[in-house]
Amino acid sequence: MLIYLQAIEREDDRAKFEKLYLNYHNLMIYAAMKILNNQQDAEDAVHQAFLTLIDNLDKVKDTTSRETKSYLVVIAEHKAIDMLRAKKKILDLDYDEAAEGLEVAPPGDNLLAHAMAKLPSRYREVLLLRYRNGYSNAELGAILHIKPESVQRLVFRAKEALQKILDEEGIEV
Amino acid sequence: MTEFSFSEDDLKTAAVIVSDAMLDSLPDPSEIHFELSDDFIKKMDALCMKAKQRTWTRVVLKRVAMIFLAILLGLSTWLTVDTEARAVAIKWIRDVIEDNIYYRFFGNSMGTELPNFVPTWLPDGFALTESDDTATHHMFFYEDAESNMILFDYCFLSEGLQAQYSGDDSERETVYIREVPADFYPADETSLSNNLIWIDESNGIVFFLDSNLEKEVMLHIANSVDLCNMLN
Repeated sequence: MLIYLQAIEREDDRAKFEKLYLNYHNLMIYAAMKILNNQQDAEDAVHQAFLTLIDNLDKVKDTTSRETKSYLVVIAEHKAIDMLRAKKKILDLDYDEAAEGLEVAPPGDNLLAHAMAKLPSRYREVLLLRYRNGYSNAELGAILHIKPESVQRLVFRAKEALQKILDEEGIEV
Repeated sequence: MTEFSFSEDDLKTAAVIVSDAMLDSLPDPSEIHFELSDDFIKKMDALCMKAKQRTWTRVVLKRVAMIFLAILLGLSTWLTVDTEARAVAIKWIRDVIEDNIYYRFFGNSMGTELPNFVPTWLPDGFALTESDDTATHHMFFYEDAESNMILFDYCFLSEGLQAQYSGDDSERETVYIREVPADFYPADETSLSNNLIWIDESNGIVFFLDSNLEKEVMLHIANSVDLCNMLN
């Protein structure tokens, strides 16, 4: 028995990609520059982010939603941080994990959100992609270029870090 | 198992709030203007062109692999082809697409509750520092005083499961875990650890071992993996 797969030409994927690029590339460069302080590096990071996006275009449903905007900013941040770490490694400099990433102002009354905003960026990113964007382990693995099981471990560690902040600040959710 | 004081719904609510706070801290896209470099514009133009082509290429590659798999299932004789695909009744393939190696698994899971496997040998000084288990995935993380690490985990082969490694497939080495062929990926600039993956086809389980220890030590650990009655 042979299985036949229909290869569907996805012209709409190209249009979707172009729309996302046109709408958000400046915002992504802005976010990356907050981390890298250099437009050329920020452009490289954003290019890397779009390379990731192109492999995961099917995960973007609405090109204009805040959810999608959040996703693109998080991916740009992620790539910028990767680049920053690589540069510091080459220059044999220490890096402060807590100082990486976009600064998120304490978001008001929700104590768990308050603690989440304080997480190191790599933990905050995976929690946002999981719980804001709803991506599964497999999807996050494809986006972050790690094994789905590694995603599960990362989510677990992010939750542990979150719990630690709550415990240290005596916060009860 | 670690207990958290927050629920999944609490996390969803908090994530939306944090996401909105993050976006509100940034200007509106319409207010941001950069003079983009020629290099960036050229790269993005090329990427836009690729957006259509890449989807097609992936679909074609998958179709080739799936058809090959279907042929193997349907016929009584093996086909000898020069391909990354390897398939038996368990149904899995290894794809190499650009700089990534993908293990893709198909078919129904062979069980609902994973058996309990652990490494029964570890180098001196290692202790279990973290573990996590669900019905379909078990994970153990070991460390020593010098921050060397061993990550051992396993799960059922099932539809939709995918493992991905970034790097050069030419570096991959076939090794044997209790006479079962396994793939060993040495550490490179994309990964700080060596990676080992092997598949127990009789039980429908895939095993992963990641560590910064040497290959021979990792093989010793992998060969020591055995069933136990209780998880550590």
